[in-house]
Amino acid sequence: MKQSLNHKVGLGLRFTHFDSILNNKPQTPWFEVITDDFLNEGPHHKKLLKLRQSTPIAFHSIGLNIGGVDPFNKDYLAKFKQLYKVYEPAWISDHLCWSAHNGNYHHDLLPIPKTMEALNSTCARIQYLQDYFGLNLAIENITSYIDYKNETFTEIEFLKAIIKRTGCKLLLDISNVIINYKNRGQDPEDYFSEFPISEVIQVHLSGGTFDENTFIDSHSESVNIFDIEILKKLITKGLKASYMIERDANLPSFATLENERQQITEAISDIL
Amino acid sequence: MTYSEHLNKVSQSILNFNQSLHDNLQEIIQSKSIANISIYRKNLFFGAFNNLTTDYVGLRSHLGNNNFKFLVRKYLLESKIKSPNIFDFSKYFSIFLLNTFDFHKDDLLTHLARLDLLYQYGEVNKSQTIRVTTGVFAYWSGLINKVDNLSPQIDKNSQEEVIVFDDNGERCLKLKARTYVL
Ligand SMILES: [Fe+2]
Repeated sequence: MKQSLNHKVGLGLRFTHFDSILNNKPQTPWFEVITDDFLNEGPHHKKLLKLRQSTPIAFHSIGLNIGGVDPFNKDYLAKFKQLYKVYEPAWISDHLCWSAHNGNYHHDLLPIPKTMEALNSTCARIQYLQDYFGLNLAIENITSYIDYKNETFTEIEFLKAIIKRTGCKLLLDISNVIINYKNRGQDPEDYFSEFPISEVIQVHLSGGTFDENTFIDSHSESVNIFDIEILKKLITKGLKASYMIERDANLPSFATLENERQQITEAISDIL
Repeated sequence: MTYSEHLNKVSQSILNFNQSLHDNLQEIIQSKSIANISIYRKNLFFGAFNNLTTDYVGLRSHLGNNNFKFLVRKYLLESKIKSPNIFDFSKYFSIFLLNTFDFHKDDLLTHLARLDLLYQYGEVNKSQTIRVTTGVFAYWSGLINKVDNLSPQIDKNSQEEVIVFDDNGERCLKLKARTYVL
């Protein structure tokens, strides 16, 4: 299934668009589904089963707490696995981050201090999860608004070491990289040129906001043209993955979002 | 400092968002970016607030935005989020209200919250019902339908049973024809 989604631009599935998608059967080739949205029972499950009959999906999680140290929440993992069995996503992704500590859940993506101890812990947890699900996870780079002191690795070094030890895949969020570099007044060029694109199976694109001197990864605007240019550049360098628009806030109608998706599809079509 | 201690410092600085940022963050975070902890504090608060706003439509309408915000803030600071499932945090809000306000003096908030929860999460297939003080359901319905100049007409001596049902794919609540005299 993965093979057929290469170079296909998909969308993030949002509940408010569900009925429009099921009624109008758009051309969207695949959807990314936030697993955490389906932890509870409700009519959305029936709808997802219906969508699944015609359209591939990938699971994206925000709660695995890969970079944390708390024991995994057994109920959460069991529910997750059940969803995985029912909906058969093409792959599962989560972030290179921690999101809970000492039993307190932040429901946010917090940056990992990139030290050897963090690397050891993170790799062990990814391996545990990969054994649990019986597949290689895709790990996503996040936006970070704080910089730690005394880190041993750069993000690229950290990611490469994780891939080497765990065999996991990558989800490259182009917009997150650009936001991180913009906020630090730096050029993201080096990051992209060093990024191990052969391991990338999925790409995120989104539009952020500018708030109190900081670019925020708010997923509330259309994708910036600059981000699409970076995607095109990476494709010409050999990137072969599935791409998608992440939109969570200031949500337009599904038709508008689908239109934006088609524009990105067209933008990359002449270099494929 | 261990990795766990490192995470703990960052976690505590976000969770205790009513306190000023502690000097000990200097040890682990570059001073230029320490103030950005406020971004994570905002994310935490508004994540919780937006979830509760979606789930507690009747209660929020009764309290007004500022009072509702105050309660969410209090709930978040005192209870923290203890589940990877954000819906659990939302569901326990009604218990928090029960523990925070003297139930016998003013159970209106708790009962409005319970009706909101029944509306959002009640088991339609099992025709789930709950009992609330007589008059609360009529008031809640008015709040949901944005009726002007509402005031609750409560009879504390009896309770009514409310049922959740499916009306052409839309979740609805209605009064089940049973009244319990206390
Ligand atoms: Fe992303």
